[in-house]
Amino acid sequence: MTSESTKLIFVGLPSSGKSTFIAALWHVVMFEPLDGSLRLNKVEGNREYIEALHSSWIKCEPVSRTQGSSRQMITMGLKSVEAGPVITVVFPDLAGEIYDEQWRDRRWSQEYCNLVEGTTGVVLFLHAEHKYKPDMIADYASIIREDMPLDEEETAILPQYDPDKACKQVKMVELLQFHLAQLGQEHALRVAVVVSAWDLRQDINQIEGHDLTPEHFVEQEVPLLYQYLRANPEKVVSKVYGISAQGGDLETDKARLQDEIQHVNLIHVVSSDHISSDNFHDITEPLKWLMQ
Amino acid sequence: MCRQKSCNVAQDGLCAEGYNPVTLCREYIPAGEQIDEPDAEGIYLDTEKAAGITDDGSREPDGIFFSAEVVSGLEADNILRSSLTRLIVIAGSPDSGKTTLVASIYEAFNKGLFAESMFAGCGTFGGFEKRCFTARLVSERSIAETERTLAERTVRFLNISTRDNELAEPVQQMLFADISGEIYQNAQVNSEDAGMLRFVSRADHFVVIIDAGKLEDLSLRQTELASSISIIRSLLDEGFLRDDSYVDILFSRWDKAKASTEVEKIKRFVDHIKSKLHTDFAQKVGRLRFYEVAARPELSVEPPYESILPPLYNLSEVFQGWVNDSPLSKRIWFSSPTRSLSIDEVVEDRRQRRLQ
Repeated sequence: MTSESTKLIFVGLPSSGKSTFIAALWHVVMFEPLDGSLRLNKVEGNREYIEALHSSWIKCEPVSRTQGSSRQMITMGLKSVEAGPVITVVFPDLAGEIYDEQWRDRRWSQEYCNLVEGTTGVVLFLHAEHKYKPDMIADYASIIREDMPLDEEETAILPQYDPDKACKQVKMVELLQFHLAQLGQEHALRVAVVVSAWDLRQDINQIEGHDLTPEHFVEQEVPLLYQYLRANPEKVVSKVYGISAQGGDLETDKARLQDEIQHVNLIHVVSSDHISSDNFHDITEPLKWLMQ
Repeated sequence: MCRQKSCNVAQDGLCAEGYNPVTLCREYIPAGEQIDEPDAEGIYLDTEKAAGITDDGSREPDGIFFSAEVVSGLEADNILRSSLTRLIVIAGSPDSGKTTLVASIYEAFNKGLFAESMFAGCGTFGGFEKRCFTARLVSERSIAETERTLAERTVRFLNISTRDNELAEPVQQMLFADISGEIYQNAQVNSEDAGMLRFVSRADHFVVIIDAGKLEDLSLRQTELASSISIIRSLLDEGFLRDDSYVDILFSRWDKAKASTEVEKIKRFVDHIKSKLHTDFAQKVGRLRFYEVAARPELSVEPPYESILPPLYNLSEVFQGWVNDSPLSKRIWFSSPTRSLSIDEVVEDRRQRRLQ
C-alpha cells in the first residue's frame, strides 16, 4: 500500500474527543510541527470551524462540539516533512451524531458511502471516562433493591428498549463491522484506536497505584472491542494510543496549561512505542502508523 | 460462473458446494447465460428497506442497509453456506429459558472471554441488545429479566462469531435458532409445524430446554417430560434428527431447583427424565448429553442478594461442546437447511474438503 492511496477516516460516538483532537492536530500541522510530524498540505470543508476549534484550544478553553443539523465535515491533506505523498484525512462528522444514526438506523447514506470509498485506515475514538460495558442489574442488586423495593417496581412505568440505550462498546464494534463490510479491503484494515483524555485515566492510575496502558484500558473497559480486534487479525490490524490533546483538566489546571510557552507540549501521546507520555507530543503519530 | 461470490468455479472448475458435475449446483450459471445482479453487501433489514422504501411509501436515497435485528431464514442460509458455522437449535416450552440462555452467553462476551473463546463479531446486535435490555441497569428494573419471545409461529436466528483464544482455529459463526414455544408445542403433534423445523437436519446441536423450576410442581413435571419426548420423537420420525445427531437436554433454572424444599424429589425426577430419554433415544441419535444449567440464577429477595449458583452455571462446558463438536464432519449433508431437499442436492461435506 502506498501513501498516495492513503485515506483515513475518523470514527467516534459523540463526545469521544474528536473535536479536541482535530484542534490539537491543526496546531501541530499548521503552527508547531515537530521533527517527523506530518504537515498540512491542504484543507477542505469548513476551515473557519477548524480555526474556531483551534482558537479555543490555544486559550485552554473547552473545545465545544457542534450539535444539531449542521454537520461539520472536514477533509485534510497531510504530508511528511520530506515532501512525500499526501494522505487524506476525513472527519465525516465531528459531532459524531452520524454514527449514532448509523447504529440506530443500520444504514449508510449514499453520501457517506461515497465519502468513505477508498478508505485504507480508520481512527477509532474512545474516551477514557466514558462507560462502554453494560451495567448489569445482578451486579448492583443490593443498591438498586434499596432504591426501589420490589413492590414499588410493580406499579412503576418502566422504560422499554431503545436502540440509543445500547451499550457503547456494542455500538463501536458494530460501526467497525459496518466499515469492514463495506470497504472491501484486499489487505487487513488498519485501525488506530485513540483513547482520548488519557491524562484523566493516568490520574486514576496513580490514585489506584497501577500502570494501565492504553491496550489494557481497552481490554478492561471495552472488552468486546478488544476481543473483536484480537480475534480478527486477518481483517483488522490495530494499535491503541492514549492521547491527551489538552494536557490536563481545563477547570483545575488552566493556569498551568496557559503558562506553557509551546502549546505543543500540552499534547501527550502514549503507545507501545512511547510508554512515557512526558516526552512524546506528536499527535500525528497514529496517522503515520496508519500510513504504513 | 457461480452466483456465490466465494465460489471459484470460473477459475478452477471446482464447485464450492462440492457438486460434481458442477451443473448440478443450483447456483451455477453456464457460460453465455446472464448473471443476476448481485446483492449489495450487508444484510437487509427487510425487503422493503432493501428497496429503499420508507414507511410513508417514498423512496429513500440510495444507500446501504446493514444487519437485521434477527437473521431471517434466507440470511441464515447464506451464513451457513458462506462460512464455517455452527447451527444450534434450541427448543423448549414457552418461558423455559431459551432466550435467557443465549442472551447470557452474549452478556458473558460483553465482559470478556467465555468458555476459552473470544468474541469475533455479531450479525444481530440489535436482537441481542433488545433481549438483554431488561437485565441491565439502564432498564431501571430491580430484577433482571429477559424480554419474552413473541408468541408467534416463527423461528428466529441470532448470530455471533467466536474464535479460540489461541487463534489456532478460524473464526466460527454461531447461529442460534430460537424456536417459539408455540411451534415447539405444535410440532410435537402437528406434522405441518414439525415440517417448519426441517432445518434441524442441518443443526450441529439440537437442544431441548426443560425448566427445572417447574419440576417441583407435580401437575407440570409430567408435561415437561412428555414434551421433551414428543419433540425428539417427532423430529426423528420426520427424519430431521438422525442417528448421528447431537442432542443436548438442558435442565434450566437449576438454581430454583436447588433452592426448593423439594430438591431431592426434583433430583429423583430429573434422574427419571434422564433414564427415560436415554432408554428411548440414546441408540437413535449420535450423542445425548444432559446438563443442569443456570444461565442467570435468581438473587435472594433479602440481603445479601446473592444467588445459590454462579452465573452461567455449567454453560461454559455446554458452549465449548457446541463450538468444538459437530456431527456434520461425519456425514454427507445438504447445502441448504431451509429449502426442500432432493437427491440431486447430496454433496460432499464442506468441512471434510476444507480439512483436506
